[in-house]
Amino acid sequence: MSLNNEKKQAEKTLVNSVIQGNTPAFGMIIKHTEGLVAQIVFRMLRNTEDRKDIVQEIYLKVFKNLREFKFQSKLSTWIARIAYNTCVNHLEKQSLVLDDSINPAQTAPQYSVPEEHIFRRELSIILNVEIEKLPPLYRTMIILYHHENLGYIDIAQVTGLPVGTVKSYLFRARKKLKENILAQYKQEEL
Amino acid sequence: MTPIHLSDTEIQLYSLDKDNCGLNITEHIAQCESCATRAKNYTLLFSAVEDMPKPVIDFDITAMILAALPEHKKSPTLSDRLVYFVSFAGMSLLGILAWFLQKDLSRIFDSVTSMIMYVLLIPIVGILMWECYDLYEKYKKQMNVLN
Repeated sequence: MSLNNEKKQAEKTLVNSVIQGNTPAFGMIIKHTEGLVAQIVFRMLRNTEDRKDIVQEIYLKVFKNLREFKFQSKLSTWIARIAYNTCVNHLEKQSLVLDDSINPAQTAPQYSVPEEHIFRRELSIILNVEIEKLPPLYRTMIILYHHENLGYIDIAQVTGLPVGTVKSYLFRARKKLKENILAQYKQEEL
Repeated sequence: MTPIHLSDTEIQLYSLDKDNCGLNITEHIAQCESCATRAKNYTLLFSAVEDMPKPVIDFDITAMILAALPEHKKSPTLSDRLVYFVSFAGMSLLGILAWFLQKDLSRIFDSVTSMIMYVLLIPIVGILMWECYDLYEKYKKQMNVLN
């Protein structure tokens, strides 16, 4: 039996156990997925007060809808999708735009690579700030791809967008992030 | 070498996967300093994103969620359903009998002397009390096992 099948079987056992009334087993599901859920919630929502309520709402939804999970994707991807949708609904309630301020036709300023050691040190500081400036959808996609190592298909399942759209959004998001960081770096240099 | 500079998409493709982005892209970057610089920027950016610390939820999420979960409603098994059905049927039958025999029943109780009533009641109450005590003892034993 392959590792993937073993994982799938373990997930099935865990999910069925929760459905049959073993509520503490749900704690294991939370432990396995809280990192991914945190990434999505923290990247989508800036307000720290909201995050706690949203995380609770996400897992209560997961528990309520666990019977609907048909094992067509990984359990973590399914939970990530619930987390993403819950955050989107929350942002929509607050009338915030998910993918604002993107102009793909914009031309990028060209900067040379600064001294690498200085750049690396400053990059991590600037990166945190600049990632936060990206629209929620873009920063979530970047984090899911580069930090959580999710593939395009997984991100498409989480966001409910076509794979082509995910690729295109990710390309734009990376480009915008790189431009913003270089612009910021240049500004600090002056 | 391609005479024009690579597009941003091509540069990203190279930075994400040098080995599978296409020979023309690799060759161009090897000979073009400007595109190599752009690729280097992306490589630095991707490694910086990977090195970012992961956000941590600063509250005990598991305890919070488990405390907020609704209690599990166990669906009745087949034997439970059978017991409910037999009990309901028995009660209904007794009710119907009592309805049809109400005159005869009142006559029976009128004719029974108080002595006979005591003779019947004392053992019934005694048996009921014994059953209750027995049930309580069993419950205590089960709770001890579970604890």
